[in-house]
Amino acid sequence: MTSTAVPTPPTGNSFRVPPPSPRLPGAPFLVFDWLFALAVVGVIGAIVRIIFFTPIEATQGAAQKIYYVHVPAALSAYLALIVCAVMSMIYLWLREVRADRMAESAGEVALLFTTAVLITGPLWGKPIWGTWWTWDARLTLTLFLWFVTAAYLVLRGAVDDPIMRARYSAVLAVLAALLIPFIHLSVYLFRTLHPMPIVLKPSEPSLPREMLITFSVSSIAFLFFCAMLMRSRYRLALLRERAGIV
Amino acid sequence: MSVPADTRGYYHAAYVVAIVLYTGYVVSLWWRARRLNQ
Amino acid sequence: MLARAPGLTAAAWIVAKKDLAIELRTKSAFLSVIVFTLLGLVIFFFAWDSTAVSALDLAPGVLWVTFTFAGLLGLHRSFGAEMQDRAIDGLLVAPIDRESIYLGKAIANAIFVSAVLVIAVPAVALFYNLPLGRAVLALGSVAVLAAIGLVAIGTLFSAMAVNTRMAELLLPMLSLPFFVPIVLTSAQASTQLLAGRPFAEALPWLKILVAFDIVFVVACTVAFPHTLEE
Repeated sequence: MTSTAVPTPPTGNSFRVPPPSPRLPGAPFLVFDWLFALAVVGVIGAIVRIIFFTPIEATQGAAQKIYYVHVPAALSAYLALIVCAVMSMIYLWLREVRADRMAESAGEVALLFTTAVLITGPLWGKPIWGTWWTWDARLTLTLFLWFVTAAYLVLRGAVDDPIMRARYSAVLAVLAALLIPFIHLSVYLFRTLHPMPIVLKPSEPSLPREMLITFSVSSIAFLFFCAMLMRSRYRLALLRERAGIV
Repeated sequence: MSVPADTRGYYHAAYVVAIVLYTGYVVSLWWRARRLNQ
Repeated sequence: MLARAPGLTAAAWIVAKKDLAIELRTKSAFLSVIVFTLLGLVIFFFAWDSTAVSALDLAPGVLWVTFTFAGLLGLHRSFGAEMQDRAIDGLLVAPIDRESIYLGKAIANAIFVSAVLVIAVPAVALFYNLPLGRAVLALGSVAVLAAIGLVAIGTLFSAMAVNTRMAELLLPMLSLPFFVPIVLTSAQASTQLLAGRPFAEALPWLKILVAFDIVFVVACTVAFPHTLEE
């Protein structure tokens, strides 16, 4: 049994690094398990339902179906961001390494879904509203959330020491959470005082029952998928630590 | 301004992008896990 | 004789004076930031179609954007000096609250930034042909509020960024999202004031800016000790 130098952080705390373990058999499956597979099946099922079993809306045409993937992506992004912010606060309060691991996982997943929102949004907006982008409060806030999440991940990547990495990113996450109301407020005020070109939005018809069910199914499927992605990413983080990479 | 007659292009593009993004992320998780075990 | 350790504000002033003394010795950062700001103002001038946008509408935005980026340069330097030779350890063993270190550096940065503005604000009026008195009053008063927010955020993030591998890139990436409400509200408020509009129209923007300053000065002061080693 060869002894390997185990890197220890300068101050003893929960980031104790366990010795590198021999190759864990079937390790990729540690990251993905049957629950994750269930989530994937759910998403595929939702998409099948959207594409094949949901009628096309009369006034907006096929593009309206983008909504079934755009809004659940936004909900998932918010879920991941809330998890990240809450876990960051817990980390700062309790210095619990599991909270930091969860925050890291949630941050990455949040970036994924925010990206999806920012791409599907304009693809829906162009045919429906006639423009790729408007600086309305919600879109602007989403763009801003993307920047902050990207900054969070870049910050994590730029700090070598695990404790400082956890502390710095937790501070950023908490400050970013404080920032959101200010962004929203200032953009909202900006919009009310600076009338933008009026974009013709077809009045949202109340969704007929068929579409409402599809919408709910899709939302649940994607939210579950988001949760499972965070869980798998968390396991990946565990795997990293066990492999001796801090 | 009315909705263009055929909006299917946008519809397809949006779903392709979403599926590519999500699949890509899952693959990246798998790939990173694989590399950690080598 | 038992000397009491300095309280929060007294310690902050000591830290601030130390930082300013170092800066006064070389003045290199100050000069660079001034030159950068003035150059920024000039470049924007040449990028400007004066028939499309009036000077009154453009100038405040130009000033705040230029000032923001120049401020980032200056802030980056603020902790850089400390990281050499681990000089910050000297501060950490001193019998002062960690918060005082932050407040002291923030005060020093605020003075630094104000000095830059003293030159930049009249320069904007000059380059963009604004009525000098009104410009200085409108821009200057908003500038004080903007500077507080800028310095609060920037001091904290530069303390963090300086410990990372890509400090020069990271500091703007972290700070700029937080500067958005500052720049937005400052530009809007100063445009109103510059155009001679009643103060009540600039007030909503100023209220947001003041609220931002209060929230983030407190939040950053509380957060700073978390960025230091135990």
